[in-house]
Amino acid sequence: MATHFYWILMVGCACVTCITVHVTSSRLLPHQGTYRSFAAGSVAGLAALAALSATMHASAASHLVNLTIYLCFVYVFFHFNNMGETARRIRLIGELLDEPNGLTYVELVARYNAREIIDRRIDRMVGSGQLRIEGERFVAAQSSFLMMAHCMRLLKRILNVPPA
Amino acid sequence: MAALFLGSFLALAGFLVHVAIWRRRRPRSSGSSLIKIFISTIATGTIVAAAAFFVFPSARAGLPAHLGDWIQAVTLALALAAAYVLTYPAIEVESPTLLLAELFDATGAQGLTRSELHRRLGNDVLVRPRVQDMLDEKLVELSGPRYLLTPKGRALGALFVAWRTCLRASRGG
Repeated sequence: MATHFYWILMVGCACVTCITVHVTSSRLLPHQGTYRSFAAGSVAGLAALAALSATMHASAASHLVNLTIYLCFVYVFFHFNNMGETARRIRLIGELLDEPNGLTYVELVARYNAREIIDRRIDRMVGSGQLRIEGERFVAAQSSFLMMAHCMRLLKRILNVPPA
Repeated sequence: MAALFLGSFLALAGFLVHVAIWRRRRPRSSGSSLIKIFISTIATGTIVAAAAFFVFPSARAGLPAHLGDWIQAVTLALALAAAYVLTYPAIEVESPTLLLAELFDATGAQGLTRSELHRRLGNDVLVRPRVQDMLDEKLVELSGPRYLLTPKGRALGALFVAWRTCLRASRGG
C-alpha cells in the first residue's frame, strides 16, 4: 500500500534538490547569473529523480507522470525566477514598495520606462545569441523567440484575445 | 497509465472550460479567474471520476486503483494547470521580448538601431497596459493621481524581494 505513495517522496526530493542547488549556486557564484544557477538546479533535480526512480519498481507510465510533474515544477519555478528577473509588473511593484505615499504615473515612468525595458532586453537577446550586432544595428540571429511569438499569436486567436 | 490519462484529461478539461469562457467574454481579472477555473474544473472532474469509480464497477478499469495513484493524477493535473497559468500573461499582454523578436523578423537583414526601437515602442505600449493590469488585478489602487500598493500587491512585492535577496540578485525588470 505504502509503495503507492513513494512517488510523492521522489518528486518532492527532486524539487527540493532543484531549489537547493539553484539557491546555493546563485549565492556562491553570483557572477554566473540567475539562469545558469537555475539550469544547474534543474539538472541536479532531474538527476535526483532518475536516481530515486531507479530504486523503485513502478510502471513506465508512473515514472512518466513523475517526470511530467517534475518538469512542470521546473517550468513553474523558471517562470517564478523569470518574473523576478524580467517582469515589468514585479519591477513596478518594487518601485512602489520603496514609496509608502505611492507614485504618479509620471513619477513611475521616470524610474522605469520603455527605454530601460528595451535596452535590458536587447542586451539579454545579444547575450543569448538571439541578436547579432552589425555596426549600430541589431539583426535577428536565431528564430526561437520568433517561434514562441507565433505560438502566443495562435493562442491569442484561440482565446479571442485582441492584440494590444 | 490510469493516473497519466486522468491527470491529463482533468487539465485538458480545465483548458477547454477556460477557452469557452474566454471566447464568450474575457473576465476583467483574468489571472485570478483562470486559477479559479482550473481548480474548480479539476476538483469537479475528480469528484465525478471518483463517483463513477464507486457507482459503475465497469469504469474502474480506466481509473486509478489506489489512493496514491489518484493523488498522483490530481497532482499531475494541477502541475499542468500551473504551467499554463504562468504562461498565460504572455498571451494576454504583449511580451516586450516577443514584440522585439517580431520586429526584428519584419525588418530582416536590415535590422534596427536602439533609437529606432525606442521610437517604435514607447511607454504607452510597454508600461501603461501593465499599470492597467495591476489596477485590474487589484495589486495597486489609485488615490487621486497616485498609485498605491494594495495589501495583495505589497505581499507579492515582498515575496519577490525576499526571493531575490535569498539569491543575492539585483532588482530585475
